[in-house]
Amino acid sequence: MTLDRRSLLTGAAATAAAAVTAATVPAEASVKTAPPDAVGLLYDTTLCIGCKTCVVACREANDKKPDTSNSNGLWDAPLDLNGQTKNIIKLYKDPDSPVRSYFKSQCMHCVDPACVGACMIGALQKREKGIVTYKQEYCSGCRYCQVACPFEIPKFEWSSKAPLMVKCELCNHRLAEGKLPGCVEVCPRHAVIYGTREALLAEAKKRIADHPDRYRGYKDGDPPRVFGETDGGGTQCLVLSHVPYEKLGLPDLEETSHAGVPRSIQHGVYQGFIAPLALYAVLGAVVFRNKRAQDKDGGAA
Amino acid sequence: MKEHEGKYVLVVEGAIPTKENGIYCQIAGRTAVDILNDVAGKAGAIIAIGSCASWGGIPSADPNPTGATGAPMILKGKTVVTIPGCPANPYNLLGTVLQFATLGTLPALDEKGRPKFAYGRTIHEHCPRRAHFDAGRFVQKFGDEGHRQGWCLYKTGCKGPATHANCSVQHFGEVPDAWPIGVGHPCFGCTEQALAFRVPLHTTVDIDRATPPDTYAPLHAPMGKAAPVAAGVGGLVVGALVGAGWAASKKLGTTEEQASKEPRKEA
Amino acid sequence: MSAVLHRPAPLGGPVLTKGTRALVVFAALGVAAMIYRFAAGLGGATALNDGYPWGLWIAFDVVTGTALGCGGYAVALLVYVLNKGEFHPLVRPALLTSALGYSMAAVSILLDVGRPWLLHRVPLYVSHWNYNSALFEVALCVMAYVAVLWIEVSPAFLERWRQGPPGLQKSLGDNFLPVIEKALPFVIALGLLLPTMHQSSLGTLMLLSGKKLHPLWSTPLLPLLFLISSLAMGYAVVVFESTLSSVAFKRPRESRMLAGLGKAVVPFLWVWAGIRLVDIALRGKLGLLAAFDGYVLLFLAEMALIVVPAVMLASPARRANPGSLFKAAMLMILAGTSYRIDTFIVAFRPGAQYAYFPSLAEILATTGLVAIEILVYVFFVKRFPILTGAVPAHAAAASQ
Repeated sequence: MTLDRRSLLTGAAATAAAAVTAATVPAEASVKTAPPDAVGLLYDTTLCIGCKTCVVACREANDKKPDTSNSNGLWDAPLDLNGQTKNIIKLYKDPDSPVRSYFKSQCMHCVDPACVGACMIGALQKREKGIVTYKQEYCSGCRYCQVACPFEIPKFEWSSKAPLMVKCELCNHRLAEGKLPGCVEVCPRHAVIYGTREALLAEAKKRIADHPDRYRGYKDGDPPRVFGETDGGGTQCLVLSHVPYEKLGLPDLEETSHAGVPRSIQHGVYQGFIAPLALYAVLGAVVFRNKRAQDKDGGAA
Repeated sequence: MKEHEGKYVLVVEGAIPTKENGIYCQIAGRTAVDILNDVAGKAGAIIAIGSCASWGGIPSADPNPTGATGAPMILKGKTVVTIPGCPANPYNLLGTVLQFATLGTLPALDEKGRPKFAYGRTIHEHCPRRAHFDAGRFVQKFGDEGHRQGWCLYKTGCKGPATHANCSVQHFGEVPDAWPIGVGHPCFGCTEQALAFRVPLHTTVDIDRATPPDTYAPLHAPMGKAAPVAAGVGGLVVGALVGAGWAASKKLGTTEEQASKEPRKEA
Repeated sequence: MSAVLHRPAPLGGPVLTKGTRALVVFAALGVAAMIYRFAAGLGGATALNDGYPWGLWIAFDVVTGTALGCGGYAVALLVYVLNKGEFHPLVRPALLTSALGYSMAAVSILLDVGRPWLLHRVPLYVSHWNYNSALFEVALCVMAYVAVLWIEVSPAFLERWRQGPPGLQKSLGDNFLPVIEKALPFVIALGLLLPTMHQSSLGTLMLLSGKKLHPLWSTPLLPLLFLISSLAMGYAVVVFESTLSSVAFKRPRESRMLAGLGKAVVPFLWVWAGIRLVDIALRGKLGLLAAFDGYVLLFLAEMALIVVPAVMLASPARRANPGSLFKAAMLMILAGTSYRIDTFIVAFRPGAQYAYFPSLAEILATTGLVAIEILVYVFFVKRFPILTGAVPAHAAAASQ
């Protein structure tokens, strides 16, 4: 029995050809920008006093019960965002200095969200005003969005028998009634404000320009900047901080969304379903020919 | 009574015994039930003052030999303002009566007939020791350091988080700190039928709607861990597979040598 | 004689033996674990958490399980595309293993998703299809491929029923066998297309985890690497399965054919390892290897698991030795398994605060599913014409 190595390699190359083309499709081809009416929040750690009013308001606005699981029922004290917590105030304490900072953790409403790219039939989608909203009737609970999210935001109702995903949807139900998001409405110091992404970005840059010594960049020593302007392709929720973003646990992301690469692969390979159909046609013809020949041989033997 | 029919205010005090046709409380041969029905029928407003009149209070505690109950239970279908408390705060009676006398109306009531102006919130919401609760500073036992410092009494059985009353802001009879928590004793829930004389004094209650504490979540809270049993079983499975595979491959090598000495079946 | 050899026949004999009884115990434990998963919910039964939303069931049962189920794909590629008809006897057992492997993956998906009763919406809600989602493509392809695999295996059942007494089964065989045999080339072609699509997309899946995946694993070439490794694992599994069944059922070995497979798989291994190294070099990440941390050790171990069998199988003498061939096959299976589990769990770093190790229920469900898979395989090869070769005397007597 002889087996031609070259023919095997060609065979492997042929079946893999589609994947190769895909990998070389330039990622620039699929960079996305925020919709013109994109809205978001601007959270400024220098204004936040850690009162957690927003945490309570968020529960009320979204009909979520207090999480007392870590405190024997005494307090609403979730340790992180979870299946019943869409917004939380965390505390950063610098180990080497008295510097402290609160940090409001919630969905950033990415310009090009990885979770949306992950979702099989669009339970998570960018809908009105660029807000990433969730429609439970399309969610089977596969949790690919959790794998995809660079901010670890979508949370799963692990203890439920019919679990859903839970994440901030920017109180889009309140926005529809002309109200502000719950957290924004109650914030006593306007540490978190709501507006169009454009206006918020301008406001954030103005604050930096007015007080360049007050704000920081991503790492220690970086010039001050707005987190979310370009991070991960940009987010609709922006952050300003007196502590480097790295220390607040915000991820170090590229200037384009990592959702672009798999998207261009899927598009490159499956555009119009031409490549798979062509491959199928070729495979079909080859198999038909070979099988007929082999069946004849077998019959003759 | 006849003269002011439909205008007078009936204030009921004390529980009403109902067993054996109410014979356990009689005045001039008439039972309390009988008198209450008679007087209440012509009253302009009915107020039950104190926990006894509100639902039965102490006399209604198990085993309740006299079948004691409160005015609202006898006067079904009638509006009965209840001002529970043991003792009830006089200000709450005064406020209710004055509103009726001046405006001719009754204050807004909750589902148990209690005026919302006084019983709308829990003791816990306005407790002067609330900051200690939020910070997790609890009295562990009477007389300890925390007790002396005026810390939160929750763990000694304070019913404040589940008790609707205005004690924490309207001290009894205008005497400063004249209420249980004010003198270092846990609230015992005297305005709540579900608590007073039913739940033991030093048993803690569930928090109705928990609020955030005075502490913060860390940036990265640890989550998930390996169960030792699972790790052990996992190791066994992997180990067994690798071991079996290795043994099988060794055996294969030897049997093949033997097999090659014999003529192959298929050859 | 060769005509006899080329006709698959049922092995016959009892299904329940000492070995399969032990498997029944594991299967029962597995079923109990699966029931527990639905009684206690995912949070109660599994060790999964918001940082590690995917665990053993996805990384092993689905991602590795389908790759282990690529034997049918790999052999069909060899026989029907590269026209190596001499490997034909391997097709049927390979397809059966694949059908079982993929069915096990499908069951695991039902266990793993939070609301499996809504999964049918994925194929049905056409207007909502998200073509950007690699998972969506995997879901559709796997659903379709499970059906394709069972159609490909079905002649084995239909042939058997056709020979049986008249009745429903016989009429099924009489009516459908000719139809399926006529359609088979196109089904086979579909059976080649679908794994090509979804085995590569399984790699695309983890591309969307971005920087959470360690740079030694995260590359735009993940789809290609997963495709190549699935073929390598496919051949390895056929060698593994064929060797084991020849030992277990005391049948003559298909040694020469397997040696041929051993030769065929070598280029895949070199391409797999080569692309990984070149890709890391081109991305300028070779410096990471100097860190020599746990990830680097893991990476080196993975590479060793690829290279060692490639070197072993390069020697014709070793390929001819069933022991060495079997060892090499095990190493390849281990290489593919660790590559997949590492990509999905170990090299996936959601943050130092998160930890994951499969729970007892997860482990028992997985071992149970594998046990069930083997049991069904044993049942099928004993009752239906799957394996080709001279029938042992006692089995031949039993079937007459």
